[in-house]
Amino acid sequence: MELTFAQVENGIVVNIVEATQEWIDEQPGTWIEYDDSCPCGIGYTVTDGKCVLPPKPYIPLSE
Amino acid sequence: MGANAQTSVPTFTAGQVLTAQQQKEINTGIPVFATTTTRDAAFGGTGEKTLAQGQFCYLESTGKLQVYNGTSWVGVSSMRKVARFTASGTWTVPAGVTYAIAHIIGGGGGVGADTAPTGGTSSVAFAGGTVSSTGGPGLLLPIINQTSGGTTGPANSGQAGTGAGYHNSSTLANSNGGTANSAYIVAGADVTPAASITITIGAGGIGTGAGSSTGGTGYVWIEYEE
Repeated sequence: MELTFAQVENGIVVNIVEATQEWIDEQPGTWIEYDDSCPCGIGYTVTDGKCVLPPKPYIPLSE
Repeated sequence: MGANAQTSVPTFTAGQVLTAQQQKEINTGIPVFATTTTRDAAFGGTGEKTLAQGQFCYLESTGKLQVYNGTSWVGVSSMRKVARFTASGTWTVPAGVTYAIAHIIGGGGGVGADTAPTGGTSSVAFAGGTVSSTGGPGLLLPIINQTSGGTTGPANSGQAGTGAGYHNSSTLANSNGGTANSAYIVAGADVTPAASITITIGAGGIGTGAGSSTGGTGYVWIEYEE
């Protein structure tokens, strides 16, 4: 079954890919499975195996 | 050896009475041989045709049509084939294939009011270097009032998701993911038969928050000729 995985280098997500667990197991480096409860994206910081969401964007009140 | 296969390509003299076997050996039009060995042995012997330029044959061992060009036997035509990948995997180069063209689409960008991640990068790791298609950039919705969630980009398209939000500003148009599609890269490379080539398929960026949606997953297809 194909899942979404995040590739992590030096604590930063560098790619997100569609792959089977078997394919991921054969790849070098650190990978974490995408978790709906903890969304991931390229450039996000990873701490203790979980992505750290960036802060919500600031919306000017004048808008 | 199939019913049409023969071991000789006969030649005839004026007034010669043909045997049933000789008739059979000429009525297939193009001579059929089991292997290249029987093909090569079928010409030039006593009572056999002399091999010359323009001679065709069909080989049962390979299922291919060949023509003799005066120096060697060469393939008459080749068939273009496609290996497609909707998820990461490995492409093993088929026998006889020495060149391939990869079409690579990254994941579409995500859309959302909270987060709008970039789509994942798809790539093909040729021996001469890895060729990549960068995912779509993602699109953060600049909205205050949002409606329902957006629409996910089509699978294996690399297209961005489409946001469904709106805002109450008179100066900003409603938002969508139209600018967050991935790149489409085409690259050719020499390949070695039996080599394993790693294919990576970028996921769509997964947007979060109101009006959010996910980009379409990436796609790779490889064209080659056998």
